[in-house]
Amino acid sequence: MAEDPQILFVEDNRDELDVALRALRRAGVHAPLMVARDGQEALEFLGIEDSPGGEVPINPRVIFLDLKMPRVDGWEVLRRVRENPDTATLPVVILSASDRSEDIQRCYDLGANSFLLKRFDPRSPGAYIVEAARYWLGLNRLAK
Amino acid sequence: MYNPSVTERFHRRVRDFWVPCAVFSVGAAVSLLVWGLLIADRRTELKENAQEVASEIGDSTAAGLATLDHVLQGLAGRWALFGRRPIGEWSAEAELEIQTHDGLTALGWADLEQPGWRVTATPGTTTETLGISERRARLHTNQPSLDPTDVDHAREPSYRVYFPMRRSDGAGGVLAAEFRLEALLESLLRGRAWGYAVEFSWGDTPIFKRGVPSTDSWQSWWFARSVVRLPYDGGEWRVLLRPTGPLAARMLNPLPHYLLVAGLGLSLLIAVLIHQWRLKSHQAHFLAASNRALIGKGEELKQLADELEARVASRTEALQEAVSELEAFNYSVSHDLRSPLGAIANFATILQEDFRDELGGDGIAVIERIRGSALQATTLLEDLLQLSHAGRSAIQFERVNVTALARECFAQAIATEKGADVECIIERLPSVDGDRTLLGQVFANLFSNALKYSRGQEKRNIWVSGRTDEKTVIFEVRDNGRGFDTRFASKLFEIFERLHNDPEIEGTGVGLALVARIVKRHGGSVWAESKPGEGSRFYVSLPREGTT
Repeated sequence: MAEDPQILFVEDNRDELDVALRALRRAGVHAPLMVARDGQEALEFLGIEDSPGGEVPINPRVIFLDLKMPRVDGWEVLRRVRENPDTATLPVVILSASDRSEDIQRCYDLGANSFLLKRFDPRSPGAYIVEAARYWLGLNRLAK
Repeated sequence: MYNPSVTERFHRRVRDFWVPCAVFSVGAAVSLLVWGLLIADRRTELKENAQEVASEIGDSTAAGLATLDHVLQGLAGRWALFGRRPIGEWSAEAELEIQTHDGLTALGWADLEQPGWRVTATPGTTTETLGISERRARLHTNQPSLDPTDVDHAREPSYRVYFPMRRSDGAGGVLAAEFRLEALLESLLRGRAWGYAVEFSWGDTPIFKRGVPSTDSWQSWWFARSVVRLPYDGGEWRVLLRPTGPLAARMLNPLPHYLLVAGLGLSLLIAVLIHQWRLKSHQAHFLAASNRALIGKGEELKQLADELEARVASRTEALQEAVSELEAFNYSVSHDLRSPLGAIANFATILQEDFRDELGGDGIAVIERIRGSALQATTLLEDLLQLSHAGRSAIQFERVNVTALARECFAQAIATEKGADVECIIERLPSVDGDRTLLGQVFANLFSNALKYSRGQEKRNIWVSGRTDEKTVIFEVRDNGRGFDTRFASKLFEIFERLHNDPEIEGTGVGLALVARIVKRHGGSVWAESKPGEGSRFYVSLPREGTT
């Protein structure tokens, strides 16, 4: 792996993923990015669960996490990330189509850093994701 | 309810009455029997006593008459023995006899050989007043006799005896004696026959009466009698005895009557008591039967109520299940729709952005319409989700500063509104207890409405005011927009109803329905007033309870 990925994008929906990736690309966010297609994959990438390929665990600067996914859902991933000492401090931004207050509250209770509602952004598709990515990547750089 | 039939009632009536009737009959019969026995006893006693007295009177009268007869015989015997004695001697003897014997008032001799009438009378009487005459005496020379015709009613009734005398030499004479009946009988009755009215009669002629019989007919209807055989002529006196008032009162006292009355009364009382008691016991029986019936009904009702409750519970459960299923369905449909609709809008935008040159003017316009439709569908979806949420989520009551909330909502509403020609006056509003989020949606929708429908006015005004009534707090949101026709006011708050068909004014027809639902869930009400062209006033009233 040439570059250690700085963004881990966990999303099972192809459309959402494409819009997000295009927005990031168009906005000039060229940080190395890795996509997990469900929670199980995300846990394997992060080394919280053993990966069948035996890859080295990644250490991203921010995780964009969808909630509703097959196999292991977003809440479970969030919980495991926070439980694991190696990943406990990783910034996690939740991306969800649900605006139910109980869903949102549960995310913050589990230690999410931010909650973004998937929506049509009248400025440009996925513009709000770009904003969030810039913010967390920049903040992380400052911290280091 | 326990409801006896007609025959049952009749039977009960008979059963109610025959026992007391029987009791009364028996009591009355016993009383009458005792009464009869007592009366009969007393009567018998009285009768026997009276008969005894009557016989005694008869006997003593007869004995008295016999004594007189004996006196006369003695006088006659001496006359036969001594013959002509000086008249003075006879007079002395006669006086002695008259003094000795009560009732004997005069004695006289007629010597048939030696004519000449000799009479001695009791002192105080004269021979003239006495009815003894020589002429009459001479009629009774053969045997002793009584002369009933000699009873002189003009005077005191008297009794005369003519007694023939015969001397040894054959010369004859007549001895006459007069008795005053009353005096005679009084002396004979002396000390006897107390309490009785005594009546002597000679044939049909009453000759003596003493005492007054009781006037009470039931006491004096009977009498006792005896007969006194007279020593001469075979005649007789009849003696009649009737009880007098005092004796009857003493002998026939009213005790039996009292006993009879008391017995009858007691029987009646007992019968009535028994009847009452039976009636009560029957009533108790009847009540108990009614009670049992009622209890039975009550249990039946309770069972029915239980069944009903169980049915309601099971229906409610089913309904709740259906509601939550529907809710889950709604949520997942809305949620799942949200994603593809967002994707359509997003990809349409991407087409416009990335392939602008290839699409050309017409292509871009078509894509724009696709994007607009997708966005409209998304808005509708959001509104519906909000409405559904407002309808089912639990209200989180808290103290809400409505003034601040209204300002906040207006700020949000104006942020997406084109043009800044809006003046909004929000007065100080009363605080209420309610769900902050939901009340925020109310104001957001009212503001959004006011802004939408006042577009095109030169100067847009929105006033928000509030007042407190006795029971409610009323908020008013007023605008100077185009208003609406009040005839359709009732349709305003119905879902998907829009009073304007203006494509310039966006809207899904859900906003006011959402307002109405939220207010209703707070126990309040909404209404609106308007005239076309004169703006609208929307009112929200909430219960004052817990408000300041």
